[in-house]
Order: sequence, then C-alpha cells, then structure tokens
Amino acid sequence: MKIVIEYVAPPFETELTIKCSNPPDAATRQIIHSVQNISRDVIGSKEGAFHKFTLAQIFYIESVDEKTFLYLANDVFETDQRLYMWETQLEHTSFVRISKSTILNTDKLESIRSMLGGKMEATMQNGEKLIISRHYLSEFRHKFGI
Amino acid sequence: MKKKSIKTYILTDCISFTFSVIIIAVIGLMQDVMMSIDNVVLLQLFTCTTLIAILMYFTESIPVESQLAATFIHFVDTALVILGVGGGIFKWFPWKAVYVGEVVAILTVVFIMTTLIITWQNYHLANSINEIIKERQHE
Repeated sequence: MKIVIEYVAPPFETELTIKCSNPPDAATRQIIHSVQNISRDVIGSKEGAFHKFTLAQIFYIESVDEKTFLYLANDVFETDQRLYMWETQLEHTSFVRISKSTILNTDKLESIRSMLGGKMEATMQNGEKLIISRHYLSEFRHKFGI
Repeated sequence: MKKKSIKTYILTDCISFTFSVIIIAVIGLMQDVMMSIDNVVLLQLFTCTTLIAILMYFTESIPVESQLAATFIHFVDTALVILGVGGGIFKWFPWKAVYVGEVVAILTVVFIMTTLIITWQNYHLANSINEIIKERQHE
C-alpha cells in the first residue's frame, strides 16, 4: 500500500483522498471505515443546547443512571444513543469498551498502570483516570496489537 | 461479559493447577499428613481448579468497588471449592480443625502466588502498551 502525506501550512482543513480498487480489499475497507468514523460529526446536548464536534475529540463515553455522556478534554455532553449502540458503531475505530459503563478512545490515552487483582488504571491526556475492568482487558490489549 | 475474558480464567486455572501440584508434592515430601498424588488425585485437583475458575467467572459480576473485597471474594470462591468439593466430595482430608487449617494455609499460598503472577503479567502488559502509546505520540 502506497501512502502519500503532504503537509500544508495552516490554516487548512485536512483532506484525505483514498485511491483503491473497486471494490476495495478488506484492509482498505477497514481504513475507509475508520476514517469515516473518526471524521464523523457528533451531536451532543448540554443545558438544552446542541453542540457539534468530531468523534476524534471524544476522550471517553460513559453511561450513568441510564444516560450516556460524551467526555471531551474539558467538557461533557449528553447523547441520546445508548452505550451498546456506540460500541457497535465504534467497533473498528480507536474506541474500546473498558468496563460495563465506559468506552475509551485509545488515541486520547496518556498511559496505563496495572493494579492488584488484574484491573488497570488508564490516565487520559487530560489527566482523568479510568478503570479498565478485567473482563475487557483482552479486548483492550487487542487494540494495541498485543 | 466478553467471551474473550475466558482466556484469563483458563490461564488462572492452569497456574492454580501447577502451583497446587508443586505445593502438595513438596508438603507431601516434608510430612505424611497429605494425600499422595496419583492419577485420580491429579484429575480431582484439575476439577477443583477448573471449578474455582468457573466460580470466579460468575462472582466477577458481583458489583464491588473495593479491590480488596473483590480479592476476598476470589479467596472465598477458592475456599468453597477446596473445602466443599475437595474435602467433602473427594475426601482429600478429614473435616478436623488441623486438616482444614492446613488446607486453608495451602490455598492461601496458591491464591497469593496466582494473584502475584497475574499482577506481574499485567505490569509487563502495561509497560508494553505504554511503549506503543509513546511511539504513537511521537509519530
């Protein structure tokens, strides 16, 4: 696969062109799917107002008391979609389920550390800490090709 | 609960079985109060370690926040199987304080060793993932 990256001086909206056979092979399909998801616009609500941002801005998604919240670097928005729906939609992206109530964006991960008993603690780039449950550890490590 | 996590329980089962055999063999050499390890006992032992892993699989879903409480639940899982199935059904030892105490001491050691190994593995896993994260950040 040939990859060409052209850096352009800002301000410039990132543009991505994929040239591939029709129909694309499995690897290319996965790339297209991932790019479409990452650049996808997401709508979240806060105090009655709706806000638009990209999927890539989301640090993690959490379900609390039957409500689902999208956590950005310094902001939280509510979403109508349930957590399991997000999990299905984000299957081939950098997002991964880490507990019953949380889906984490691995691109926003700063580091992780092991805890006694098989759990792990994830530190996000904004300093927030999340617990990776033992049940979801296998899926989490697969996101890193381990 | 994800099916992939079953691998973790199979790993726990294998580690528990290995350490159980080693510890029982060592104690058997030191004193004559334990059963000897023959083919039947080995299979019984494997049954017990597997039952413990299965029990842990289900008790994992108990919603406890405290790590200490979660660890204690695993200890209770282990004790229930060893004392109930091992002592009660397989008749590994008579139900007397001295033997029950000895068994509790053994399974405590096995439990601690298993927990330490899994923690050690996760420590190395965390290091590997942190290296990948650093590489991605430098790209």
